[in-house]
Amino acid sequence: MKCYIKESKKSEVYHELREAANIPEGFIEGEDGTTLFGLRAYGVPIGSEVFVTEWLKTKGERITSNMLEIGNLLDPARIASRHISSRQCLWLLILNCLQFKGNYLSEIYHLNLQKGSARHSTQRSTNSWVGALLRRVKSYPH
Amino acid sequence: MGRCFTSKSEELSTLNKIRVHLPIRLGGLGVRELSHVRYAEFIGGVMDGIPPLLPQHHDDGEHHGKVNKLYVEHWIGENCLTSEHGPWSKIISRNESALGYGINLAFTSMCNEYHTMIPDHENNLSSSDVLHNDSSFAGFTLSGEIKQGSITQCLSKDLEDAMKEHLDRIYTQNEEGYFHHNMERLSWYNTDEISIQCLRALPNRDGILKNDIFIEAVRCILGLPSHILQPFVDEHRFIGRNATVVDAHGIVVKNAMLINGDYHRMHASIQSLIIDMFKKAKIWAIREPQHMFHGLVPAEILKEYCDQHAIKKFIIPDIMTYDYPHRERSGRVILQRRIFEVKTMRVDSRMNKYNPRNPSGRAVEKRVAEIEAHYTKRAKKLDATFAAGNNSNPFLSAHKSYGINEIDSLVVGHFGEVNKGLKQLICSLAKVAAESQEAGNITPASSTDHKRKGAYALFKKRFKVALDCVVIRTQTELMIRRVQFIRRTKEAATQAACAGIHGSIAGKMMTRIIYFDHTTTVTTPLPNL
Repeated sequence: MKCYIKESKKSEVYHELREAANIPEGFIEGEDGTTLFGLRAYGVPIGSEVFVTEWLKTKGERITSNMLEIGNLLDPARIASRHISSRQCLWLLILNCLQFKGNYLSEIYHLNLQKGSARHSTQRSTNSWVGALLRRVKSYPH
Repeated sequence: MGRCFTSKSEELSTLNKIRVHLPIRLGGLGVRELSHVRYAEFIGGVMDGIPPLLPQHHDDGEHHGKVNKLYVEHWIGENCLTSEHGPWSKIISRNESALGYGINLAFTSMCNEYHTMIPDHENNLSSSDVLHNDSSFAGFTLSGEIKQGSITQCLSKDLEDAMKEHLDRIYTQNEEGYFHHNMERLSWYNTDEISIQCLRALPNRDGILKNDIFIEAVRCILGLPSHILQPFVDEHRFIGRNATVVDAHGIVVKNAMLINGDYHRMHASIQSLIIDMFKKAKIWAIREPQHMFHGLVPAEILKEYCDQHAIKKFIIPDIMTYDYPHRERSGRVILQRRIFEVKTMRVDSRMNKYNPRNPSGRAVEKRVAEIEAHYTKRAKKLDATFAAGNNSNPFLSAHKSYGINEIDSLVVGHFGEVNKGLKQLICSLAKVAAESQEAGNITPASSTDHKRKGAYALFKKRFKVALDCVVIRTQTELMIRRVQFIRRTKEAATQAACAGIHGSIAGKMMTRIIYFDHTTTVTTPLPNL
């Protein structure tokens, strides 16, 4: 269990109660090493705008790397037999599974980021997941 | 998607760029871009999450929601579900609300997109009742009702249907700039539910597509230039007895006149597959019956017909069955004798049958009319030859006694599309197969099919996938084999075309087999259904 409260609302009483209940504060580390307070509930990041942006970015990168890993595993260059239809397998994975990876995030996306530039960066990031995998397929030998 | 199967993204025309995002059921590739679905996802998420929290008003009084009424009123507004101005009117009017901002942005964007694609939406009877212009009723109908099922699905479906309508309008208007080649127009118009089955096919024994075949399948669906012929189209290369210049889409290569041209391979493959489908349905079917008039024409006339030596004068359908189940209007099922003719089509070089303009009908349906007329003509000719003076027209009557429409035509087109008769046959065979004892062991749990319609849906899907994959496989393999006949000069191309398989003994033998008995040339392994 973790907890979070806005920076402006934090007080000594809050910390006392938190420590008494033995509930740590939720946080992640930013790119520059700063501590960003917030937590995740039901897959939804709750916290400051910087926290949410950073969280979404990390999530997006993780999904991208997972997709690229799948793409590498199904690379026809790695598979010796030409009779294994790795391209078809990869297509089926994209069609039935991988392309929906970002859907849940898009449900929660406006709720967390009301306005601002973070919206655009997240959109770009999520759109590029499938694109990155498709580019990988393109680079395969035929 | 353009980046996936082509080297240049510019290769995709405006039509194809929209088409790849269409769902497969509407003739697209089913790659839904996140930026397209996110608004519907968001409104769907709001509708899944918020209305259950609100107090519900029923005839027998008010039921409490999951959250204290005061919190809800503070957040969204008092009695928001019954408000005349819409459930979200208060929250949208509050500038500081992230939820209100999100609902307004998502819904307005979707409505704008919808109205761009359907300009006459106000007069359109089939216009969406959830994509109205009022964001205060986002996710609701204008009367304040919540539609049954998933709201995300409702919104996405309406948007995708609008996209399909938009593409149909682009096709009809035929304005420049939307298409790069006539093949794109042809593919959009002719593609049907069977043509796109290869995109859903699992790599099992029915649906496995090798890497090069898979690329060709997708390119064929989109009407893009062939990947196999890419090295030959930059310069002038020739193929066939007439030494025709090789084109990027492979139309010339597929139609080139060659000795040992494998003209019958696709036909024979489809014939075998349909017979396998009959077997699955436990219906006895015979391939290329020689005596379809036996028992229907008087013996003395039939004897004369059988004694003729020219095999060309015989009427030999591709498939015949004696016990095809047919349900009458009264509900009674009778067993019919039926004959089937299998035909395959390719886009002809002059594009007569496959018309890239706005044709009155699909090419496969035009072919059906030709087949029926051809059979009737031949039956009449037999009457004139062997039963001259006999007013009962025994051959024509015998021909008409088969099935309902005399001959049943099964036509498979260039894009894997099929005629109405073949679709009906697949449905009928799937229905009969689903009722067999063998189907008792087939459950949706043993397949990826989630439609929960039992064995019927599974058989139908399997038949459709097998048919499309056989078509795609044989079309591509035909092109791969014919690449060997492409030459740099006209003379060399003519020489290669006349020599068969490089003039070898094996090639000559194969040619003889094809000329005298084309039914024995099936070498492609067929899926064992």
